[in-house]
Amino acid sequence: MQALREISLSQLTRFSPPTTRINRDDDVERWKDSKSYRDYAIFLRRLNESVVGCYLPWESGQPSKVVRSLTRITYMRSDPLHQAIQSLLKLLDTLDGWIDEIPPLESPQRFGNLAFRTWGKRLEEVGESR
Amino acid sequence: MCSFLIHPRKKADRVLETLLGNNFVAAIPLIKPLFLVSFGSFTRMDYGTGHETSFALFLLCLTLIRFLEPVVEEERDIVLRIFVRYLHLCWKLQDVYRLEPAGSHGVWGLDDYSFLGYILGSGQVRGSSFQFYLSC
Repeated sequence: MQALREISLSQLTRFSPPTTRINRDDDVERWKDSKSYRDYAIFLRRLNESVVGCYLPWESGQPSKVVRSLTRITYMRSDPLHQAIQSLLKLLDTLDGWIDEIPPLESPQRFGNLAFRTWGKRLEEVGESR
Repeated sequence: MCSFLIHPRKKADRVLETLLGNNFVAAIPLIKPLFLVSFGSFTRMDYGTGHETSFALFLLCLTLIRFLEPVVEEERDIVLRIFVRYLHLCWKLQDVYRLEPAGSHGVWGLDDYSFLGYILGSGQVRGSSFQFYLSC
């Protein structure tokens, strides 16, 4: 299993923010030759490998990794959540809560409720940090 | 006048700052563009596998800078906790705001909106030699 490289925080100053770079068909080939594409492939392969034999529901602190064979079931404890994981879950919970605060408008349209624009505006506003 | 349109701006948390804390603040301008397009297009009112990919790339960047650690236990949580939570959030966005599937109804046509769940799920069932029943 290939390791994922590390980018140190001091190296971050050399990067510029991502922009849309795949605009035409031949840009896709350029993407496939990029370091980011290789990083992404390694990342997905690692994620895929990490959950072999792991089933939902996945609750920390409970024996919930189940390895099943035809003859026996083995439970392995899952570890308590790393702080970063907890923070990400909290972030997603926050975004979810905004949906309840921004209900859909009355609309005859089949697709696309305009309240989604309001939700999106709030998301873009929170990016306005420092 | 619809009251829900008038939202006090200060109510909006600075979620990326809150997420990353002081140590990783330098990364915010670099990951914010990916984060902002991870939940659909607000102009086209749609959601598709491109947005899902943006979120996966957002998680990749968090791992490259080692906010998330590329170790098996954490990677497992990234899939079974973070990504699952993200999926549920996106399903709710799609349902409540009636988002149109972006592109031609999802890569390979497996799903109108999403694809990574199939890739990651294939790992879950790899090598399994018993019959199982699909459950939510």
